[in-house]
Amino acid sequence: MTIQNQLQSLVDEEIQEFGTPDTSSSQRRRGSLWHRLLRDKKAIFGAVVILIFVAFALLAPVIFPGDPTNPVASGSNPPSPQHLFGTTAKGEDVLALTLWGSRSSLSIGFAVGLVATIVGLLVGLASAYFGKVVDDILSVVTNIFLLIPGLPLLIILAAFLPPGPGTIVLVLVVTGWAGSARVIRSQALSLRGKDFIDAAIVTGERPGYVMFREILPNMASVVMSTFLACVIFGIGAQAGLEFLGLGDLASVSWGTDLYWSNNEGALITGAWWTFIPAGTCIALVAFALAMMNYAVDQITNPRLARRRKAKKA
Amino acid sequence: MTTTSDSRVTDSRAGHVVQDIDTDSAQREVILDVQNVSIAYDTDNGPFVAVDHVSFTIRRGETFGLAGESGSGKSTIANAILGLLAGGEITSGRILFEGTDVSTLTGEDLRSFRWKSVSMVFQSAMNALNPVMTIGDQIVDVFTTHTDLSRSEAKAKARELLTLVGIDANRISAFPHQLSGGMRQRAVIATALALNPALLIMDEPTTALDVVVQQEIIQEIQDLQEKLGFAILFITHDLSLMVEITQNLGVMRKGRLLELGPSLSVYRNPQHPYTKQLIAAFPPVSGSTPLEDGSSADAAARVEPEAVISVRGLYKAFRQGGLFSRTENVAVNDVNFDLHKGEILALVGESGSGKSTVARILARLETPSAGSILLEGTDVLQTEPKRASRQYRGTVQMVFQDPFGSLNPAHRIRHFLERAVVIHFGRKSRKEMDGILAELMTSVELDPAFLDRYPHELSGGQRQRISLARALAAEPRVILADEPTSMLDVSVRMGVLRLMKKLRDDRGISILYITHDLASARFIADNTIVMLRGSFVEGGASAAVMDDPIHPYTRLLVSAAPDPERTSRYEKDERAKTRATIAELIANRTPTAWVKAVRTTADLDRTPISPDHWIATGDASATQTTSGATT
Repeated sequence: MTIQNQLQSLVDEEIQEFGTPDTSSSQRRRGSLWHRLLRDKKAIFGAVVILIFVAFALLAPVIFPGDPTNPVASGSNPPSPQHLFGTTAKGEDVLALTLWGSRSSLSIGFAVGLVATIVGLLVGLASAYFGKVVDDILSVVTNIFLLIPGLPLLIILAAFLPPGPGTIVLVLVVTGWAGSARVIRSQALSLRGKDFIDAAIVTGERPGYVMFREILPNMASVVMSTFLACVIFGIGAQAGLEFLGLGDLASVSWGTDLYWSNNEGALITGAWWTFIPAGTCIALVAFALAMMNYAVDQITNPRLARRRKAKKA
Repeated sequence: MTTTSDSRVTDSRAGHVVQDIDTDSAQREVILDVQNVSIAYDTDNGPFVAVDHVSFTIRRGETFGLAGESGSGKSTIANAILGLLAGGEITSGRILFEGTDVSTLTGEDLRSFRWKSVSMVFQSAMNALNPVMTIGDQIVDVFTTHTDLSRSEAKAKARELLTLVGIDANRISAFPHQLSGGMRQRAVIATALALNPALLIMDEPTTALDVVVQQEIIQEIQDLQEKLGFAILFITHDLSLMVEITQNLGVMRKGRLLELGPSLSVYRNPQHPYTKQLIAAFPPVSGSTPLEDGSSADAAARVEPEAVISVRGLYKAFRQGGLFSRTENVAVNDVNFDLHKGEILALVGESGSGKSTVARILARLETPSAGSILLEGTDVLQTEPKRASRQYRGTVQMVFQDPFGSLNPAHRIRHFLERAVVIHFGRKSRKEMDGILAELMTSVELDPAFLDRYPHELSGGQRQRISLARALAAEPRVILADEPTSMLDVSVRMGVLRLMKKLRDDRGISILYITHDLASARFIADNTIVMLRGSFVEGGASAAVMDDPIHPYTRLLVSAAPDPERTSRYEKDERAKTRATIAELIANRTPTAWVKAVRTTADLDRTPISPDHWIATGDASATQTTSGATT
């Protein structure tokens, strides 16, 4: 018996008596996931970075009204007080492109994250809850999508479908949902084996209720980290596709910024200011999301939390 | 030995009740002297006193018991003796072993003290053994670390030790996972005894084992003790077991020693109210049941002949293995019984006997491979084959074994009861619902204020009451109780059992009580059926089955149940003979259920012994010969 267990059972014994509940015990309840996230430094850092980017995205039309692809100066100027991030070969303001680009990158990234997580959730929960044949079929499908090389599939789909933000989201969800389905299935499977699920079934609950009201609330952290990982995937993969010229080149996003920068020979001419901002933004957002993911993991995984505590002591 | 109610004194220093120490061992030398010891753990909320001014002594060759529930501090003392207090500190008093204060030992002295003088057997044998080393190597390691023996000498010693604890010496190269639970615990005992220590600490050594195996291990330990002469500090929550094997014992609660004295006189004549409560929590399996409320007898008369649920030819096989090598594991083999209105029927058996599977099939959580469940004459497996109807759910409810796993941690208590009411009786107004929930809480003797708590804020006993309330919310006619008290602390166990009995008496609910504990079956159930490897072997009125067991397996089970008043021991070779008979019976059994159609009540393969006692027909003839031999 570990010390923690011993202490817990010692504490448990204090409320052993029947009859009236001990009023002090309710304060002992650990805060919810949200409350604890709000106290975690890593989570706050990640959230602040994301919020700043969201604010930029929303404010882009206010700061740089008009089409950011309109030339405002002569081509390829390095950063200067007039154009803080310099201008591209076509004479566009890089700062304007970067801020406007965050609109497309963030919205597509979060849309991909959301849809991929929901698809993964439905497949994973159904797979775990019904088991047997349903699980076999869904697992085979999930595995096929996991095994198909992602990039070629992305390229083929993107090349055949008409360009536009909807296509990008569809393509990225098709290639990205399987991983989250896998993670959610395994977590749901372990919850499926718990007595409280059987107890709910015996009480008379229907499958849908059991899946969404009994299983789902217990895996909030997994869903959250799956979602964050899918957003990172979405932002990265969109930028990758567009860099290859397979996205919607008419739009402005960090991916198209990089594509045009490369296309205009920025690497050869040494126009570093045209690709550093977009690249840094992608890295920063991914880093911020990863920090939040890490915080969720640390808060909800008692083993990690204990290790951290032990280190402090 | 004399019972000494008059000569008890109150130890002024420690404040616990002391009865005269057993005189047989009083002349022997004291090897362990725990003097006024307090132990505190450092926690976030300041120091936590886990052991509070405890004093006792252990003499050479004596078996001393520490009884108490989880959190009573009994394991903390054991850890303190070995200097294994992680995060804890001895704040007062001292522990003397053969005159040396153990807290002064450090380094090499402490290392050799830990195995040569005192060694320990932990509760969980699987965790105490290293899974990647053979058991032989683990014993050899003890010798090579603590003595100068060479590896081959050590190996010879290890073989000797294994034989000593009843393991075939040829299994020396077996890995822990290749051994059964009982064998593993024997291997742990062998390692603990390797260096012939003067004191062996056993912390709940048999709690995880089946009763029959437990009894065997306990006898093995006693035989070894006679041979080798070590003293034992035996820690358990099971008072009947403790009284049976110890000479003196102490009862602990919340870190304090409440009562100390010779085991039998403490058992027969407890002084402290808590000791009385603990003893009452373990009704003896034999003899007259000491029922203060006397409800069992007249309740049995109240059982009506009308069967609520009848089970016929129930057969369940679990498929194992993958696509290519499928093996079938028969969990329930041709089981037939009727559960009558207002009856408490106990299904008794060891782990793996299939008793829980029967309950899960009745709860419609598993689908049987064959057989029928008749609910008031309708075969529900025919009318609702895939999923149980809500009408069935409203008739048959279940209470699960693990009170910590059966309530969803994400919801408040209110949720569980409210859902059950809404599902079976539709939505209610806020006020009406509050009234219904309050009534439900009162019926399980809980304050309605608990409704807005989360499960983790409740103790095990309280949670199990919530599970009962949840089952009751559907106003069922049958409750399936799958070992509802086995994970509860002893002092709340009786309360839950009494509550179940009361629900039967007040509402005429039929209860199928699944348990491995014969004594509690005798206490609560009108009728008992004994299950062995998926089949029923014997059944009848609980008292008749337990007082006059006919089937060799039932005899083995009854003999293995801890009994403080036991006078005779079930001898080793006799036990081996019984086991052989049982193995033969199992081997001769034919898996017939597939071909059998729905059975009629008349044909249950039961051979009556008396009006309220029967045994399985297939085993009857074989049993007559053995019962003649053993009686």
